Amino acid sequence: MLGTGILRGLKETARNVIGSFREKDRLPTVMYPEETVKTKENFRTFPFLVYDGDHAMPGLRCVSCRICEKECPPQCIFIIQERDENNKAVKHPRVFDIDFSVCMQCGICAEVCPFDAIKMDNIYELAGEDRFTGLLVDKHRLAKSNHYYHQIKPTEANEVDGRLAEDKRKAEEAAKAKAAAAAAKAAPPPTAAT
Amino acid sequence: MSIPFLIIAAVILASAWAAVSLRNLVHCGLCAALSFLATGTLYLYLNAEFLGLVQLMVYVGAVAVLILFTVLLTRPATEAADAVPTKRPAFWKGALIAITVGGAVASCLAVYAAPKASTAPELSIQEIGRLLTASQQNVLALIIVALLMTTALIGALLLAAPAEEDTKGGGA
Amino acid sequence: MTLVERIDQAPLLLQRWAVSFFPALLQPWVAMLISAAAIIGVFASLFALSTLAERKGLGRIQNRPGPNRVGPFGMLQPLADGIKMLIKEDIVPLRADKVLHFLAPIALIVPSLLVYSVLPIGRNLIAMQCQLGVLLFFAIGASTELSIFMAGWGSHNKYSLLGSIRAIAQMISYELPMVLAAVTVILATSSLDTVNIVEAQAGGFWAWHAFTPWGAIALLTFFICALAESNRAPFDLPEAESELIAGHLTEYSGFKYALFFMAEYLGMMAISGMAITLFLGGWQAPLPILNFIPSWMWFFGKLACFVVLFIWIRGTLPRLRADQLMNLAWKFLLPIALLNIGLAGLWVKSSGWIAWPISVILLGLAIVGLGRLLRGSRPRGGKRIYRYAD
Repeated sequence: MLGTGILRGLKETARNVIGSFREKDRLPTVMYPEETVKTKENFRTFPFLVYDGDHAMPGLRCVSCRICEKECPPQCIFIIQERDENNKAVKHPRVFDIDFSVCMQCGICAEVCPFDAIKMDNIYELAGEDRFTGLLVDKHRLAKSNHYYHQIKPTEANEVDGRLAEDKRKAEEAAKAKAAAAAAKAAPPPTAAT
Repeated sequence: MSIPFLIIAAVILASAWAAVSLRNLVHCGLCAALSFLATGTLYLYLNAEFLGLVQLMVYVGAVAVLILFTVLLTRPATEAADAVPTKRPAFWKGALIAITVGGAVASCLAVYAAPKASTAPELSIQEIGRLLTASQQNVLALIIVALLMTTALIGALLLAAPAEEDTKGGGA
Repeated sequence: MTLVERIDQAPLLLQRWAVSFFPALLQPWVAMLISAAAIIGVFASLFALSTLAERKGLGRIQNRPGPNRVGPFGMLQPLADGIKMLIKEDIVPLRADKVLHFLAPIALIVPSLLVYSVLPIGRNLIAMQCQLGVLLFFAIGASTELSIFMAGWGSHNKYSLLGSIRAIAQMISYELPMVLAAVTVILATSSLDTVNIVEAQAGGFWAWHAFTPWGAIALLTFFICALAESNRAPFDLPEAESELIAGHLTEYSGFKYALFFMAEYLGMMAISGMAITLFLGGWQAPLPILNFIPSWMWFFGKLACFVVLFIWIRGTLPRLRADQLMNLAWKFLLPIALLNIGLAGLWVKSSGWIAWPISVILLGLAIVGLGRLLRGSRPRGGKRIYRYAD
């Protein structure tokens, strides 16, 4: 019959209107500044530096190996290694800057880091008026605790922690074995010399 | 002669003059529409409400649009520099038409002498309707006009209907 | 005068009270001015409200909340829109016809407001009672076509011109069935006076013209034509933003654009008001018991229903193609309207229940048959070929 299609359409839109007051499915809009969507665990934006323990600077995992700086495609990472009073390199960054206005959030830095020191954050409300004060971020602002890492990405952080613990155990075992070997070498069993 | 009448008359004359003297044909058409509108207003002012409104509806609503469409469809409306013919043959033709039409109108006016009554007759729409449908003569005229219009409508539909070969041939 | 009557006639009493302050010579003029000001004020604010309702309603239809930032629940959005329109730069194209470009919105808004003078908003509430009210409504409504032409041609833009030509073609085509649908009511009430037409429908909703076989079909025809006349979806081809960017509105900005926008809404409400007057009893209450509610509230309530229906349809139906548009007008609505006039005549002459079965059968046959015809009419020449595209 002529016009039944129109009536069906009208019914559907009426269901949308009424449903938008009652069902969440028919009004999925999130009122952004007041309410936000909880981000997915593997949602990533900018990198941050993980530290262990309670103090940020001494606890940084970063050893200033500069792999991330070399790998970074847009080259937004800038690192200067710390040196002690004898001008000897220390495994700690003196300067670690990331230019968020250049960073393209690819996550390669986090992938290549052999020390699990740099990870991807999920912050996104970074709009500012000046890129040099707001978006050129130094190591103090980049440093975030392992606890925070666990909060934003529990699965990944647990895996990393497990791996680090395993590495540590292996390293300790290796050290122990080495020490034992060294001890054994240092004191060779007295055998027939001939 | 009252002031509103003078204003309306001035608008009618000015817009009619502009309609034949402006260079841009679209402007001419719009001025003609204004002239129709002012004529309708004049009828309304003279208490001929039905006539005035029909004038608005038919002339402003339909004839003016027809004129404008004709202008638009027949020549590029933006290049209207030589729109108004100024050659002598055209002028003489125009003059001939003007004299013929003017003569016809004048002779009609001469036959129907101006009414003596100075006040407008009170004529309601019901009376107009009765006049149209009650007297034998008017009914005949009305029916003939209606038949003519229906014929024209059917003719238009036939012209607009798809030609046979088009429906069979399946496109060019 | 009882309190109910007093409230019913409040606008009129208010007008008389205001007029009484002026000398007797000026009083008719002041009364006229007050009526005009009231119409402009009331319907302009209704325009603001309906833009808000439209945006929020369309939003809900499309599963989003619509404007909700300005004021509580976005209630002040029309105000913000108005301020934005006022402070926007008024751009006139370099090669535009300056005079026509300027005159077009004015020439459009004046008839749009003028037609309200013959709409009876309530008992005794009419700006200008006129013997030929219905005719005046359509005669003035017809002159809006010229202003749209002025807008399209004066903009010196091919999209504007195309849009305005489409608009005029559409408006002329749909004016015919619309007037024919209105003729049925004129036939039944033998009056062109809107006040008489409303009074003829007194008594209750069963006396309304919409509840007769011819009235129902005429109302439907009238409503479809009203959609087309006010260039609203699904008949918004003239403004088709995807093809013509906005038709004759393309080169307008700022307050001139606002005037066009306002004229569209005013036209929509005027035509709804006419439909209410002709078919839905005007300011009459649907049941005699409900007469204690002021008559003007009934009118505005019915008007609100119409506006909601307009918005609802806009949110639902896709835009028609140009040939579908013309086919609907000439091959469906026009024959139906003509048949309907005959049936209205039958109804008047027989004045009994005998007209019901005959009307229902004839109209049913006509609608089914013409509907088949309409559905069968595909674009000519079988499969569509894009001659110039490749």
